[in-house]
Amino acid sequence: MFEHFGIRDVLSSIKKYRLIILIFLSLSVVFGAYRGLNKLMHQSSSAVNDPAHSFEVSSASYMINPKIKLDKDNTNIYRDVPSQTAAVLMTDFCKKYVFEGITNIYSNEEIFKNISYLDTEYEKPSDLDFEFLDDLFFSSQYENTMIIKLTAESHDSQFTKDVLNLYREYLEKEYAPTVNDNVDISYIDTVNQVVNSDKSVVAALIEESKDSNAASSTKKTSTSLNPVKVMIKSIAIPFIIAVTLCLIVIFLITLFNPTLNRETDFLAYDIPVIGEIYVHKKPKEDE
Amino acid sequence: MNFNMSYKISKSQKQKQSILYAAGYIHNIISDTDNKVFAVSSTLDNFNMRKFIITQISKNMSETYSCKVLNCFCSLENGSKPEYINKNSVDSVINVNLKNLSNVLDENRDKYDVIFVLLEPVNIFAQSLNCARLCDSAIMIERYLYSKYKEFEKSLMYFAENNINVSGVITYI
Repeated sequence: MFEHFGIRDVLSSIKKYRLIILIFLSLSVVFGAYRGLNKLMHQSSSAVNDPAHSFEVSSASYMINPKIKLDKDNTNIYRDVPSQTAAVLMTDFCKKYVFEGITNIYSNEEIFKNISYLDTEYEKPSDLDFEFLDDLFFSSQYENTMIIKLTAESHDSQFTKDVLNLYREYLEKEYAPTVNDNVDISYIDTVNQVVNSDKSVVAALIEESKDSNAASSTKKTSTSLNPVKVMIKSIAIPFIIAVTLCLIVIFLITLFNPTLNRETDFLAYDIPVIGEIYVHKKPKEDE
Repeated sequence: MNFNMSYKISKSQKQKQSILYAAGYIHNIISDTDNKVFAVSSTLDNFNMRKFIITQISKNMSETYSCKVLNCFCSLENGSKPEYINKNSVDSVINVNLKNLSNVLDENRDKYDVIFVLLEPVNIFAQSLNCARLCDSAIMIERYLYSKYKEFEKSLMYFAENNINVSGVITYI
C-alpha cells in the first residue's frame, strides 16, 4: 500500500486538485460568514424584540484606602477592608435603607411590576419587603485590588439607576462617615450597559462568589457579542474543518489510487523516459 | 541588479524544445536498433494528445527520416468507424482498420524510415495488443498525476507476455 506513497505524491495530488480545494474553501468561508452575520443579526433583533433577554446593568466602583499605618500586625486588616466594606452593603440594615428610599420614588405597584421577572414569593404589591433587593444588587471586592464594585440590574434602566444610587447614598452618607477616621472611600466611576443574556448578571455574580473562597468576584459580566470576534470565529472554524477534510480526502486518494507523478517512477520499471513534453496549448480535434 | 540568471524561453519554445528532445531520443533508438515500426499506446483516453505528440515528433524528424503516422482503429460491431475517426481529418494521419493493418505495414515498410501506429490502450482492447505484435517495439504516452500504477503495470505485463519490447515512455503534464 505504501510502495507508491510519499509526501511528494500528496503534494502532487494537492496541485492536481487545487481548483476543487479552492472552491471548497471559498464555500466554507462564505458559509461561515453567513452564519456569523446571522448570529449577529439575531442578537441585535432579539435584544430589540425581546426585552426579557436584556438586562439594564449599572456598576459603580469605589476605591477603599485604609488610613491605618501598614506594619506587620496590620497587613491582614489592610487586605480585608474592601471586602468588609462590600459586605456592609449586603446587610439587612442597608437593604432596609434602600427599600425605604425606593418606596419614596416608586409606588409598590411600580416596584412590583419592575421585579415581576424575578422568582419571588410576593403575591401582590402590598407584600413587598426589602428581600427582593438580593436579586437586584450585588457588591464585591474587585480581584485583589482595593476597589469594590456595586452592581445593580433590572429590565428598566431608570429603576436600576435609582437602586444603585440609593446604595451609593448609603455607602457615602451613612457608612463612610462612621469609618472616616480609618478608611477613605473614594468614588471612581459608574458604568451603564445593556447585557443580552437569558441569565441574570447579579445571579451569576452571586453564584461565583459562592464558588470561590474569597469575597471578590471578578468575572466579566457582559455577555454581549463582539462582532469582530464572532465573525472571525464563524469563518475560522469552518475554514479549518474544510482544510482538514481536504487533506484527509487527498491523503486517502493518494494512498489508495497512486499515480505516476515523476520520471523516477518510470525508471523503477527499467523503462527510459523518452521525453517530458511541455504542453503549451491543448490540441483541438483537427490539429 | 539581476539576481535571477536562469534562462527564460517562451512557452511555445519550451514545448518545441521538449518535442525535439523526444525526437532526438527516438532517432537514437532507430540508429541503435533495427526498429522502425513503433506502436504508440497509453493507459489513458487521450487520443488527441497522442496524435498531437506523435505528429509533432514526426514533423521534427522529417528532416532526417521519412515518417508515417497510422491510426489503427477498431471497427464497431456494425462495421462502421468510431465517431472520433470521422472527426479527425488530418492528412498526416491515415486511419487504418485492424484487418488491413498488416497489408498497410507491408506496403509502407520499405517506403518510410519510421512508422508510428497509434493504438487504443492495450490494457483494455485486445485488438490493440494484436496490432502491437505486428510492430517492432512500443512507446507509451502517459500523463503525470493521471496515469495509474495499476494500469501501467498491466500494460507492461501484456507487452512482456507477447514479447513486445517497450522502447520508452513519453510523458506530459
